[in-house]
Amino acid sequence: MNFLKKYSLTCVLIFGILISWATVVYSETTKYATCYGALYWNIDTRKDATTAANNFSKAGYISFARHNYDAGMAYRHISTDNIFFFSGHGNSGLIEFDDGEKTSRIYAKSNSSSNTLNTKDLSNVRLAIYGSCLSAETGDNTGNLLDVSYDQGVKCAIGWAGTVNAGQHSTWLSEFSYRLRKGDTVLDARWAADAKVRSVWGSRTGGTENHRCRGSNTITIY
Amino acid sequence: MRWGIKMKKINIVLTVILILSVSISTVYANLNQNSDYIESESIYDEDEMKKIEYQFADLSKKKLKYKYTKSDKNLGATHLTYSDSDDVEYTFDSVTKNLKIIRDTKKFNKKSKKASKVKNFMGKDTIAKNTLKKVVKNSRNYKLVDAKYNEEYKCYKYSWAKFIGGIKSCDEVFIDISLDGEVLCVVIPNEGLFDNNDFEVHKKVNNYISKERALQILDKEVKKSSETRYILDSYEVQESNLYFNKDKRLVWSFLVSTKYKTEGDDDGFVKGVCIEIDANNEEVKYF
Repeated sequence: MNFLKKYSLTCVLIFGILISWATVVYSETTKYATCYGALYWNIDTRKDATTAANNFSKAGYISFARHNYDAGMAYRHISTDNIFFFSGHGNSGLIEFDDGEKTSRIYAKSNSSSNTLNTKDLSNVRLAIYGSCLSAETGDNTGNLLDVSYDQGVKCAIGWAGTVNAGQHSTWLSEFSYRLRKGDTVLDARWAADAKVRSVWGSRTGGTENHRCRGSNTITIY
Repeated sequence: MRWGIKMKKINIVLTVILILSVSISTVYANLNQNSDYIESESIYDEDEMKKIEYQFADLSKKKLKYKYTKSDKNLGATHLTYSDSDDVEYTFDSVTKNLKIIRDTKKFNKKSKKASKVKNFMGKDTIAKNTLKKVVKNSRNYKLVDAKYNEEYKCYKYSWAKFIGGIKSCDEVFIDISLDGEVLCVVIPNEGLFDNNDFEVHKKVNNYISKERALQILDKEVKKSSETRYILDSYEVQESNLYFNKDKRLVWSFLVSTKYKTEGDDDGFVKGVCIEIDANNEEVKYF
């Protein structure tokens, strides 16, 4: 009888400790990074997502490399992401996902889609990287991804003001996430990524140097 | 007796909860290990970890300490990074041992905070030229291509290139100078690639296609790249250059912005395309 009582108490104690530990650890230190890439009909950005997820994972983030995802899924999860990373196609005010069967989009704002960032709470997002052509530009009907992200609470949003070529862009994104992992500020990491592209591609930078930042350039991911 | 049975039941329930908690924790922890993991950093060669003394082109020397290795599987290249006593980073190609990048993050950050000095200070060109002499042999063979101020980085960006028969080559040097006159970054992608004065290379400048002809080929290429689901809406050439590339080919290089649409889609999406057209034999290569 005594043994059973002691056993019960021990179980309750261990369970209590486990719950407390889990609550403290997960509520205070858990950070999520979700990185999207896809095999589009004309480019493959899955490696970009994987490399970024790897770097953010080494920086202590619970990181996911999501390949060929639907925009709706990404949109539903973005509020819980601390880092949102996307590499793929885009246009002014939108990024385009490809799940292998169909394409879908996240917009800064839109009258025709519900995947609009201007209606989303993004205050958890420390860094949003919209790695696509024209992602820093404003569309007449689609708005501006960087401005809307910042207005909705993103600390720092990165996009491109012009067209970018996939090869050079991969080099840029890889170095950028690597430098962030090493503790560089966003500004340092952008500068280092520019240098890296020049060291590999020379003056043929593929438009990668036209990145823009909205929000704080001096944050790190730590 | 009843109390005893109750206790047993409670214990069973507690034990099950404990086992479930531990199992869920284990499964969750494993799930969070990224399955598509790519190891991009590893100790490459123990010998490379030694301290080295690097001699620059101007024969000055610098003691460097190994910092890290980064293998880029996308590019198939491995770079070794060393640092000096001021923590300036020096990145070398692991195969050719050529110096690729010098980067001074400390000075970059320092100048960012106090970028209030006069932008057009005297002597910045001299600092840039002296840096060029320091990092490349035969600096006289390089011509200044560009020198402009970058507002966001608050620095001057210089670029030089070696020219062959009046045409730019990919043997280039990029130097960033801060408003304080500090050298922030030097990038040397392909030093010495054209140093042997190859006759075959020089011959290529005698007869090559015009830009108009290259644009005709480009037009055909871009238009044939449509796919059934996507319709090419428009395209625009954003950059065009005639230069000698890494393969020592004389090429017309274009960065093209292509816009595609699907049926009933007003916005469409934009894709950048880098195309090089061999200026001697019209061969097309995508990047």
